[in-house]
Amino acid sequence: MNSTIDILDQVNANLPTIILLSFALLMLLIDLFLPKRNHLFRSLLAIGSLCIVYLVVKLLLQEKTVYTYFFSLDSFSYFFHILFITVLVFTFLLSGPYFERTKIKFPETSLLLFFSTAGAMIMISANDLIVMFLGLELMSICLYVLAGMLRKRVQSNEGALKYFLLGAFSSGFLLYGITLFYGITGSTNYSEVNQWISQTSNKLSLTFWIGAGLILIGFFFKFASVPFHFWSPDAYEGAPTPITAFFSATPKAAAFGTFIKILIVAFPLVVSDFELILKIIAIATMGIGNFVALQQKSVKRMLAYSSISHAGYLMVALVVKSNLGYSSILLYLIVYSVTNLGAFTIAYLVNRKNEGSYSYEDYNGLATKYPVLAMFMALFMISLAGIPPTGGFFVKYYIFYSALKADQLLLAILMALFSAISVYYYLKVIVHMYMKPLPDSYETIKSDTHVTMGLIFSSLIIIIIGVAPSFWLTLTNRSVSNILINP
Amino acid sequence: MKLTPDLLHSTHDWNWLILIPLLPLFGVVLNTFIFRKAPEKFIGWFSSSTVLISFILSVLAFFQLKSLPIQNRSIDVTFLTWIQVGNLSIDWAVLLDPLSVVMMLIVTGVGGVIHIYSIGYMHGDPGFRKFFIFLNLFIFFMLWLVMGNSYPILFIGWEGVGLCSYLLIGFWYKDMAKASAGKKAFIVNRIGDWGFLLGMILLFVNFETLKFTELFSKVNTTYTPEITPTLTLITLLLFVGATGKSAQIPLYIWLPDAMAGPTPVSALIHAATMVTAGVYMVARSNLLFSLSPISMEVVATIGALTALFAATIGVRQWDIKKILAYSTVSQLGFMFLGVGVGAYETGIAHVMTHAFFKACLFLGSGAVIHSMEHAFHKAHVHYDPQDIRYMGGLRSKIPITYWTFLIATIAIAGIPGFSGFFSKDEILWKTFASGHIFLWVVATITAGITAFYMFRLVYLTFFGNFRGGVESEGHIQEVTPYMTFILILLAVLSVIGGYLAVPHALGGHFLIGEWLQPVLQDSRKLPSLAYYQEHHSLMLEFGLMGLSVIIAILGIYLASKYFNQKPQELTVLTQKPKGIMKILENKYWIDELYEFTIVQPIYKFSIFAWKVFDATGIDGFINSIGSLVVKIGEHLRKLQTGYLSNYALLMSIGILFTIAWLVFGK
Repeated sequence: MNSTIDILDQVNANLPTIILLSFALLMLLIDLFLPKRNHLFRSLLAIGSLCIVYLVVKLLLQEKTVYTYFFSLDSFSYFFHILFITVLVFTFLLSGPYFERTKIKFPETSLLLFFSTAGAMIMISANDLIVMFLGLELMSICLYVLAGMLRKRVQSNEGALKYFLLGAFSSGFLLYGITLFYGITGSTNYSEVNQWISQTSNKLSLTFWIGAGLILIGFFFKFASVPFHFWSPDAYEGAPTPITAFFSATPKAAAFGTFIKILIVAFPLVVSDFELILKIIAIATMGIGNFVALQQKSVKRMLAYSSISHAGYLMVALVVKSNLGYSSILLYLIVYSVTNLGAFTIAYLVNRKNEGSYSYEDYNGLATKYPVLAMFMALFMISLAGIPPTGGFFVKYYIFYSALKADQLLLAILMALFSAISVYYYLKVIVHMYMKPLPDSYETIKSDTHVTMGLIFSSLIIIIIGVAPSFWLTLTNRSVSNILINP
Repeated sequence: MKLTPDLLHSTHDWNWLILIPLLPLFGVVLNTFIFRKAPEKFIGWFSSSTVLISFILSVLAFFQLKSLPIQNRSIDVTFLTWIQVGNLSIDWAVLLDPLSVVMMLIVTGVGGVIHIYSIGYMHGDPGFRKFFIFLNLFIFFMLWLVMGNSYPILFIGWEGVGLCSYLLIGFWYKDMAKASAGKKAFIVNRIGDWGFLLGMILLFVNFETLKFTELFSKVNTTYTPEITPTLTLITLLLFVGATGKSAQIPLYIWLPDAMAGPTPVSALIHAATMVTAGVYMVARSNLLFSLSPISMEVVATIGALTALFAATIGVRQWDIKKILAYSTVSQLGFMFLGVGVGAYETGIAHVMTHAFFKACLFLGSGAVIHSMEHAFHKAHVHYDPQDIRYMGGLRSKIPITYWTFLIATIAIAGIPGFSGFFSKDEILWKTFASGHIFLWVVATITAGITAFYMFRLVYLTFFGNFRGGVESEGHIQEVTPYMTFILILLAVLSVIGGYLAVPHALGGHFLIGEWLQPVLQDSRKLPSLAYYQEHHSLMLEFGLMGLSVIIAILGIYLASKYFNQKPQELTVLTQKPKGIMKILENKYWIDELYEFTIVQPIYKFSIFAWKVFDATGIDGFINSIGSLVVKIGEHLRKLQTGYLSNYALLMSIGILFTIAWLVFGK
């Protein structure tokens, strides 16, 4: 065990996070001197974050890797860092009109977004359960606040409170699991836990299994998998819509990424013991997510349940526990995050009459009045439903393929069936846009150039991944296979 | 990037090739999204220039390829791996070799001039922008078709051009007949595509690759006589695809109807480029075809029969575009006859010369129709502007159109010195030399008929007196310079294009044949093409050539005898057709035969399947599943009570189960 902590190494291992946070603080200062809190600020944020993405990509290309006791910076962490900051860029681009409409102060919100992104980045690069937990809490606490940003709305407060209470509940379980682990293994470091398991091999005690179970549950809560999903529809609905989009992207990706890392580094020897429980929860999650999404009258709530069902598909790939499965999860997360960000954006743009209704009827005849907007929405819905030639088809296909390859026939069939159900509620949006007549009284949709740019970028990503999926899968596969374990 | 060693070298120098197909796509994107309000002229020139730049780049590619030593003229450029599943790997890759570059030049060159012609032709049409979007999209797909380095990529182009063809045939979709002509083309092509797909799948099953460069070298090295039946099946299936796309018996019926589209479309898609895709595909797969002599026989026979069959129908049609359509079907038959007897380079040579003179003829007919429409419109009469019975004497009124049309007609009729003569005569000679005497007789007779019906068309349209009414006569005028310029250009090409294909017997070098040599060298060594090595007497070749010229002149003479007459003697126009003429005027009743034997039974069965099987059986079943799913959703929804304590309770139950499972479940 390396007890002398080299400060420089620790800094290096967290370089992207540190750059991001410095930038966030700098922006908070700059904001004081900006005349009006408007477009300019958002542009600066987006451009700055984009520069950080560029920096991280450059670090990745240099193959600069650092491994310390607490953190590791490897191509796996780089992948997620790039994903998180890209989500941030999209959030800045796409949220403009909403914040102007609801008069939420944007600089404060942006700071919370930065912090929670930093938390997610720490989670991913952590090599230690406690450090991971710190990152998770940094991320979650910001999210609780973000969920309640619409202070004057009851639903927002309600959702935030529920999220907070249930989140605290599950954090307690997670922390308790970590404590148990420390008690029996004497360490919270991933690699050391793995070493301990390999030494004790087939005589694992009851305490170990309870500890492992509690850690799993902590993650299931973050995945919003059934039956730990109850917080998510309420929190998603109550939160400001751009924040909801953020919810469906960063925290979910962080949870899945960290879970994959823990499975690969800490639990490679016992991962097959988790198979059955993962399988049951995956089936339940796909089932409940899809069945209930079918019943929703509000598009925003439909998207919330759909994101539960997507967590179910992702868990199918976790059950497979092959490199192919894990790398398809990574690819899935890109497509899914980008698509959701776009879809939620159009949802709030279209819902301009009374805050919080988000009904399907708002979409009637959208295609005749706003053909381009309707086309974007159609693309997002098609991608979520998994229809070619979008990225959404290929990522779902890869998970399906990996399940078949691992002889998980039942899961593959159920996944196909459930995603067939999902086509109904996604296409319903398209039906309303293209086949229902335009209502007589029609308010104009207020958008801005940032939003247009964001939508164009997100559709491009979806199409590019749909055109050349193999290339991207090779990239994510490289990230998964290059996780630094203990050099 | 994967490299097959000795065939390729330096791939990275060639990445710019992707620009050639992407430029027209760029035109599609900008015209669709950005230039929504742009003026006509701008849209037209912008679309045309994307294709013209592609043409310039293709010329550049040609010269770069030419500068390489002959054995290195096959360049594979892989841009991206598209699909990678198991053994199947499909790349976005192009193959630049003598064959593809010839096709690229034809597609972008002829495509470019037809774009410019369309600026004049489509002037004032409300769908002007849409037309150019479709046209650019067509060029994009056509370029993938000829450039792609694997059957799947070729197939994407193949389907893409099919789609564009459908969209453009039904361009004036408000006219029900035109919309259903588009549908007919699409559906008939599906039958061909089905064969093509099966052939492609069988290829993959047997050789585990679909990439041209890999596949052909693999076939060449691993060939044993045992796989001949498989290859025969594969090539026959591929040929089914070709009969659909290139309008051969029995799937040719869609092409005459496809004339419902705007005339530039008929020139570009249904004469010069898309319909020759089948010929290209066979030439591309020359090794596979050469290894299966039975398929070769089938291709040659179908080609010759189609040529004769369509030419005879052309004798008794009245619609100017329909005559040209049957002529196209017939000429495509000649091309298949050429590739079917193993003279792939000659088939491609005829693709090229045909592209020039047939584009010229179609665009000329477009100019005629344009003038007639204008005149009839001004005179307020409602004659069909495409019916040659209402034309006549246009020679002096639209002289440029007349001269260009005449030159192209001489070219197609096979008069020495014009392009069609060289390529067609070479096909006839190769048919004879390979021992297909019967097919040679058929083809030579067809050549005579071709001269006859083409000159019939010229005499009825341009000679004699005008038959469209006195009021309209004064309103006939030449079309805009956009169109006449292109007509002259294509007429010049119809003459000189043939000098790339002057046979050795006439002291020429048959340049295009030599250029294509590297693509065909593996086939040349096979026994089925042994006649290439044999020595034939020059006298024989001259004799046959002379014979075909005499037959062509005879055809022209007969046409002038019957149709170059005083108006009062042109009784043939008003007479009711009798005997053989009646059969020909009704196109052998093939459409009716298909309607009766195939369409109606399928239609009736579909009604049954719809009303009985689908509406009650399947729908009932599906609907009950649907409502079951909805019911389940309704119940599960109630779990989301909104009460925090309920949530916590359910979560706790989940936790207990999870842990219990982990602890005791093993």
